[in-house]
Amino acid sequence: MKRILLLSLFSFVVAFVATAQRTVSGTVTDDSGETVPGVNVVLKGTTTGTTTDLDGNYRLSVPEEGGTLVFSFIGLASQEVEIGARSAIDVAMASDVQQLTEVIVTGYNNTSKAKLTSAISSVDGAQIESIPMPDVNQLIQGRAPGVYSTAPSGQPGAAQNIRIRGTGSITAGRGPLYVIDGIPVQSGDFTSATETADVLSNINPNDIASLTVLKDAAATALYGSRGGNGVILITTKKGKAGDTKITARAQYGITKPQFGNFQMMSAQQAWDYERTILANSGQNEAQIDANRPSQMLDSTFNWVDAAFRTGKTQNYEVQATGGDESTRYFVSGSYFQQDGTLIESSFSRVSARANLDKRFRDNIDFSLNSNVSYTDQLNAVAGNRFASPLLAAFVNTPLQSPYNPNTGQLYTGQEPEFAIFTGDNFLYSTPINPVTTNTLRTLGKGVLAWDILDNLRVSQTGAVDFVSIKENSFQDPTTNDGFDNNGDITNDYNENITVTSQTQISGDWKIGNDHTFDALAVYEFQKNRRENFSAYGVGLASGKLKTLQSTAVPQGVDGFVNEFAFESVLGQLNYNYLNRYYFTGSVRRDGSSRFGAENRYATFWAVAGSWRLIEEGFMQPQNILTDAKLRVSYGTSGNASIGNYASLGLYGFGVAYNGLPGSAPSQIANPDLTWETSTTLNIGIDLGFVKNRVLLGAELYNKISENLLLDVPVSRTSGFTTATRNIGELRNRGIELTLSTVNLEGELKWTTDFNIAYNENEILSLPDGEDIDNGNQVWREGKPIRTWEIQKWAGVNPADGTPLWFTEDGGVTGNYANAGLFEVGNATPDYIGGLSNTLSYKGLTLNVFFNFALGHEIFNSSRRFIESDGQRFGWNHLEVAGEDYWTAPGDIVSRPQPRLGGNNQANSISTRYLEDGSFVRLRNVNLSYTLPKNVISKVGMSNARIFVQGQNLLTFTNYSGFDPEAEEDGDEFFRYPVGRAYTAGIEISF
Amino acid sequence: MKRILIINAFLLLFAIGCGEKLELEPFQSLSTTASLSDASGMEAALAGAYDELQDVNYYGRDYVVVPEVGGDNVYVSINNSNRFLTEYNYQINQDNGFAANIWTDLYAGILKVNNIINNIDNPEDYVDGQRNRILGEALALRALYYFDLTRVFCLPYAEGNGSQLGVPVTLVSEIDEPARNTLGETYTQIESDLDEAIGFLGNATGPYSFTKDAATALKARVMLYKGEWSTADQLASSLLGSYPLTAAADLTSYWSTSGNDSEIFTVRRLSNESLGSDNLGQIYNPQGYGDIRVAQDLLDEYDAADPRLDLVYTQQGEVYNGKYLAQEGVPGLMNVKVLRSEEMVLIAAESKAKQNDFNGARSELNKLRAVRGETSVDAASLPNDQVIGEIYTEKNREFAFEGHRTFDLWRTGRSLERTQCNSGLEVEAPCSIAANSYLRVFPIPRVEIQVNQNIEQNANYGDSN
Repeated sequence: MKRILLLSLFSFVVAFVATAQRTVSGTVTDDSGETVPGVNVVLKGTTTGTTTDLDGNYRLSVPEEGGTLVFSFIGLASQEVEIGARSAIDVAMASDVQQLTEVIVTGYNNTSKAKLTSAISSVDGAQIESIPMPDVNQLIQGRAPGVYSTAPSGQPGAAQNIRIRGTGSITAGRGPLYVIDGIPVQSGDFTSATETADVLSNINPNDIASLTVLKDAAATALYGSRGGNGVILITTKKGKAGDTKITARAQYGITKPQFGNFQMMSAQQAWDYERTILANSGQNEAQIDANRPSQMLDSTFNWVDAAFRTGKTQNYEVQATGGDESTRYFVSGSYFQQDGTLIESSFSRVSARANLDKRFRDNIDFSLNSNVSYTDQLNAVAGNRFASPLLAAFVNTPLQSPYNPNTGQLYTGQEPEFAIFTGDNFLYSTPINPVTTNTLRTLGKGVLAWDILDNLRVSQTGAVDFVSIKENSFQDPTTNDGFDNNGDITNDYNENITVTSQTQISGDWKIGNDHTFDALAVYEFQKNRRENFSAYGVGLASGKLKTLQSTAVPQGVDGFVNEFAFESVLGQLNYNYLNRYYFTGSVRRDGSSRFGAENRYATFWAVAGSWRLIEEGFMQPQNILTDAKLRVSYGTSGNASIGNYASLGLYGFGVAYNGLPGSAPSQIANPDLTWETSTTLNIGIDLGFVKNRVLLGAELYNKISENLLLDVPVSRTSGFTTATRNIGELRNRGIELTLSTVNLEGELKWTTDFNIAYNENEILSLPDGEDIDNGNQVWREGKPIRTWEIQKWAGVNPADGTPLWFTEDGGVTGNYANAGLFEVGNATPDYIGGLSNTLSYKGLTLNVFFNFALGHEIFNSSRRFIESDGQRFGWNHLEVAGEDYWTAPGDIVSRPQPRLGGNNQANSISTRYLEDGSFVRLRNVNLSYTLPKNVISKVGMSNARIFVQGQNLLTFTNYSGFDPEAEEDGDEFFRYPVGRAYTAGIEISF
Repeated sequence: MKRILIINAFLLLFAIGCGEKLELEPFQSLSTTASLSDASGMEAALAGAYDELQDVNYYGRDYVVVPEVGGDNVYVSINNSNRFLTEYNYQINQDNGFAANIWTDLYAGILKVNNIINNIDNPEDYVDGQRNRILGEALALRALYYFDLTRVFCLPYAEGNGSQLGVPVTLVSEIDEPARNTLGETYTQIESDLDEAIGFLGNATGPYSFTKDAATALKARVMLYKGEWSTADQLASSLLGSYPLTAAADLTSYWSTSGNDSEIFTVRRLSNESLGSDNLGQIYNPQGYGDIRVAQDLLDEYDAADPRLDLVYTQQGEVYNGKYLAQEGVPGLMNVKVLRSEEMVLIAAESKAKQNDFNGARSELNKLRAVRGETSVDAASLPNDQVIGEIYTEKNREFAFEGHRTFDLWRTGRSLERTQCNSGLEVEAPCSIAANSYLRVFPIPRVEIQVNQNIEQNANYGDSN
């Protein structure tokens, strides 16, 4: 090994030859003759480049022997110009709808759309700019085919779940790998006490230049064991050479809560309904009057109105970009603040970024990307807790006021006459029991690169991703949650640090004029360490003191440390013949500390090819097609998203008895544990018609995931409930279509972008072919992984108003215990997609964006809770619960007779509460007006734009709950609903 | 030249990637062998085994509550938090949560003690007596886990004299699909574990861990369930001298504290182990969930002057259980008194009556009546044919809310008759369960049936494999 090292070093030295340089300059204009600032000018095959200044001028050092200059700018067709002996080159660029030469970030390197061999979707930063959402994941919904985003909560800052081309795993991680500016970063929720918080919400979406989604194996194999669920590449904005340009943006908006079809009873309705329940249960008039006296109507209350409010969003931001040929910078600072529609929920973020690129001595460059952000999240208690305003708003009876009628004060909830079964008055408790989460994230990356030869580049990258999360939860001694312990405080501190080193060599060469090669090799090491410390104290003298120091009794301290490491080498070779046939091969060898000693390393690979038919001679006579390309790729990637020590047999030490520390078996050993592997075949076709005014893309894929890490249920007589095994096989196959058209061109311009993806998910094999129960869903061979299997509702017995269910043999039963289990649909949409229309006329631009998901079933657990046929007497009830219920023999109705304690478990889990979750949503409407240049230039501005936008303005769905964009598992239980938002903003540049 | 350089450069990179940087050990866990290699590791494993008793599904709450809501001492109010409904209204199927939790938790406990028992001679650093104490406690715990499983999943011993289905007896925990042993075999294991435990244990460490007396008391109860009356009598009687009965005047403080004289085995729960609203008492206390309230059936069993009526109270027209108000200053928190001397008196009385020693039975009964403000009984006031019934009633008066009710009804071949039933205060539920109903036992949970080809389901609960 040493000898190879020495040999290599020696060869470097010998081969190092300096080359002479000269300068080329010129002006770039567009088809109307106006000069164009900001055009990228790059010496082909190198990273030598610059951008045009405000007057469209550029100046660039090139090698003595010349080369080719590539001019590119968004909205204009790129051009390649041979330099030859010239020293002045002026270029006129034509407008273009689709940039085949547009730079596409593929992870460790870049390519262009023409050269692309793999399945990749890009979302341009401009498309998502200024949408008032804190998290980049929320912005991608509907814009990239085959990418579906769901969220367990609408809480500002909540974690989002992204699934690319269906669900690729059952028990291991199912989310994609996130890569920011080339560095794999931590994503997801690292909080301990907070219900939900996403570290990605620390990234300012307006700093993003582009988002790229890697979907097939040819694209993801470079990420090896971590690419199996797809990869999302986030590229932040870079500086553009030219005079300093400053852009300032201010935005303000409001959010109205919306509950869809979910409406509660008024006090009068609830009172009437509950009297009916009492009567149905055989109570006489006197008993009913005693139980539900008319005085109850004297102090009624609308809890929903009290729990929700009009949220507001504000965002202020300044960006500056500029530089010269050798130094370019992008800096930004922003403040984002959002008050949620639920009381006591908010999110704010302060972030700063500096991206710096410097080139010197013509062949050495370095860049520095740094981002610091701090978020402050105030969390309303999640909807699965009775102290949550989210749940309590809907279950608290409107017949009970939160105010004591004698004193006018809020009840604390402990008063015997306060007839809310939870013993909690959230209007009192929520404001004084704050749960806060503060996250500081620092992402820093430095790259030093040396162009040893004009076709050989080495670079070393070092990066640190530091996330610190501080959580604080407080329960006031006078509130229900704090009462038992006389108040308590929990402080939680998390530190998550990831260090990455990448050593990269890339080069290209030609054989003759027709064969072009480029190659890449990377060594990468990444290590993550996560530390947690928490302390908990009870007994507060006063609710005003909110630090641990003021608790009388320290109750517990806890802490943990986790580590993981990945060590990888990877290589890629691209070959291109005549710009017509493209071939890519890549390989990555990965090692991870997470896996058993027997199976620590694995190799992933991919091959891909594409054929640009349009370049063929036989295509020249026709003029219908203006672009045609066929792509095929095949390869493997893996999924290493499992627990950090999953292969070891362990005893855990978190328990105690009688003050003595205890231990307990926590995990069965499995030294053979290894990665999940997926193999993907992808066939893609790209077609352009009518001078590329119509672009059609289609992808067909078949992805098989094997060695699935399954927590296989085992006989509980072993003392364990499950054991992790590499067993199981899953397939996702589907079609993605994209259609982009320029419908009108000229002064009035109209473009349409449409995408739709169909995915079919199927479990191919399970251990011994046996079903695995997953709550109300089942994992079964031949079925999608989110298959519902529950009791089937057979309606109401007209004879006596009792519920009926189907039995396994096709009959009906009134006894829930005898009801059969049936496969009744699944929770993952068959079709997802989006439709975006943009109209522009002079300075006015209108964008209307719909997204949709079709063909899935949601279990409405919220409705099951409060449409309970009297089981939850004394709570509030859904308005519809009071309609269409059984009253007399012979009634053909949808609801059983409401009775005290419920009607024969009629509200047990069944298809009664399973609903079609299909929806079409008008997700975003954006109207902007760019002020005429001749007006604004008088006040020294280069650009000024005002805009208004609306979000979630309309939703078309039959779903009866808050929001059909449900959580991944399809079970909706008092999820923080997303609101309808209206914002207005202004953006000016100097 | 250039090409060689490029190839070399690539080789160089691949040469770097062979480090030893991927061997990372966990920070808060130890491998199974390491954790059971020394005495302190064994002590920790034992504490971990006791910790199972604190679980909310077990003596933390549910195991104490379910035999009550299944009975006639209490009812689930129409204003409830949706807990214990199926156990109250007997809508029980294979998905019953209590059955699944008990099955899971108790076998997890058995894994813990099996690992201790099977590795007991690994450590070389025991101090005097330490090995035997640890082994004895682990054996006694295993007996308790198995016995408590049989009470939930197996028909009363008398119904098949041990030939009916028991539970799978696993002495080495491993991933397997064991069939059910007979109840007789299960009891044999329980008895042998207890006998061994009694041999290994002393009495220095009670009542929060198993002592010789605690193992003896548990065996007395097991013998009672088995119908081995003379052994039950002899074991129970042997403890009475050391564990005085609680005086009437001390009853309130008895329930607000733990570690009292009559306690033979109590599950310890420190104030920092509060389960909050899931503390045992909070299902009864109106400041907690307050779902479960006291039925007239129970109140009718007491004389007006019975001091045990101080352990219930009335609020807004309904009667609440006052045994579990608070301990350690935490509402609803309870150190559950699993075995106490009052039970031993009643075991002695019942065993004597079953052997037709009615005078002896009355004499045992009178010991308890004397400290409960009740008059002594004699052959005139309590004829022989009424003795056994009165012992059953006294057991219920004394142990109401303590998780004995349905176990005692089924064990003694009685039916459940709820007089207060469907009056409008309670959730709708059946008013009686026959003495031969299949509902007396819970089904083997579906989660076990699905993965264990060899396990047999209890009758009437649907298919087994």
